[in-house]
Amino acid sequence: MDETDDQSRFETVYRRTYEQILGYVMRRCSSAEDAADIVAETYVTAWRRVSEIPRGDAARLWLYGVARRVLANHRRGERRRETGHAELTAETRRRYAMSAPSRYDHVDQAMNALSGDDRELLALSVWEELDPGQIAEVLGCSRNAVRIRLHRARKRFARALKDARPAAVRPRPLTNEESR
Amino acid sequence: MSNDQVFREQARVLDADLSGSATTAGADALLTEILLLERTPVPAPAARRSRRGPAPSRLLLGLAASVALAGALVVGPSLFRESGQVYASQAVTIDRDGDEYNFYITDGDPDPGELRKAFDKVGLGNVKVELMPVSPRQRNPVDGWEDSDPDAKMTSTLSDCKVRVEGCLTAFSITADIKGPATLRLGRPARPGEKYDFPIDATVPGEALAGVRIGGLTVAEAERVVREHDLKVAYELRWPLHEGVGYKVEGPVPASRVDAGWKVAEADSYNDGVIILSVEPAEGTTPPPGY
Repeated sequence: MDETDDQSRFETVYRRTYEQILGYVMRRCSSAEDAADIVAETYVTAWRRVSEIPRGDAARLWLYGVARRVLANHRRGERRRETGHAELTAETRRRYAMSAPSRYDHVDQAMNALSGDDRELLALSVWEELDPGQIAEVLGCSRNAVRIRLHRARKRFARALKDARPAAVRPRPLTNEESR
Repeated sequence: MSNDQVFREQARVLDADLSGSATTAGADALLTEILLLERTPVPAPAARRSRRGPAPSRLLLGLAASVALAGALVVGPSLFRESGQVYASQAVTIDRDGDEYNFYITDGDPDPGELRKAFDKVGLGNVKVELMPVSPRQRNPVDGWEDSDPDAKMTSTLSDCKVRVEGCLTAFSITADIKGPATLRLGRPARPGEKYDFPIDATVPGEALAGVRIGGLTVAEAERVVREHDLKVAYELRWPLHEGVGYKVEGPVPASRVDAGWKVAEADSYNDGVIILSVEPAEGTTPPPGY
């Protein structure tokens, strides 16, 4: 495949997956600047490896995997910056300004009580709406392992949520009048 | 509301909220920038051509620059041993740190054979070591890295370099279970007259235009100064990025693309008799596509 074909293919993948990758990163990043850097670095990596990008929807899963590693590197303080992407940073700042970071403190608390692995499994399932087979692709493990781990993560989240729920909204049994 | 829904509600943004974002100016600009990048990670000399301007708090690229060194006193590894240490020699100390190895280089001009031996010892026999000549005045050591494993990474300039090993000149980490071949390039002081693989500010002491003020001169003035020193001139252009943060380098460009009245920001040298003038086009000049 020559350079023009690679460019054309990359551009197609980029346009088709950009919203999901941006969403994936924004949901996991507290800073707009970091989010823009990570999105940029993810696609720079993809460009470098364009011949390895799988066809069809598998490209999106492959990119989630790349974004996940880039994000982990950023959290360890490792950064690469091969593009300026000032416009993207400005746009991402505006998006952050318009978005609500979190709605319920007690849910944040419950999510923070989970391990990073549990949180990521739940996020891939709920936020990215991936099935266990797709999650297995992203994480590089078996579908069965994902099913089991996801089940356990849900149980742990339910328990953490129960522990974190504020007393004022703790469920109480219905009174006789209410249950009628 | 189910627990999944509760979890979903905590998302800062959902994909549906980002509809249309793949065709915004930011997405377009990023795509353009990426397509201009080299397809494979490049070693130091080529990387220079794609460097971005100074966003001072942010480092760029996998090549890094850490500290110095000509004539630096080379001292062997210190006697205190960290628990993760797996190898130590006059030239390098290696620690295992989780799924990575940390390398602390203590020789400013190491023998590649000795480094290869060290890599072999820790199972990184597929990493080739090459030294590249850089100016002895280079304040920051230069490291380059190239690999074929998408999961591998190399991080330069570990912050604990000098704390971890006495006399540490540069430090980096490498994924321990790297697959396939990789090449590590380390800067070493160039011999007298040897061409550099990585450029340096030509006006620093010891370089071709030592002590000469070039930054801020017009192109015409700078050319005159360079030629008075019997050196040749080459040009590159610095196109400012959006919002004035940083710049993107286009070059080399022919003299016909450069206006004599534009300002010179910097003069660089590879020690090959040519001075590269980094020129800032006048405000309002239209950059070529992609810049």
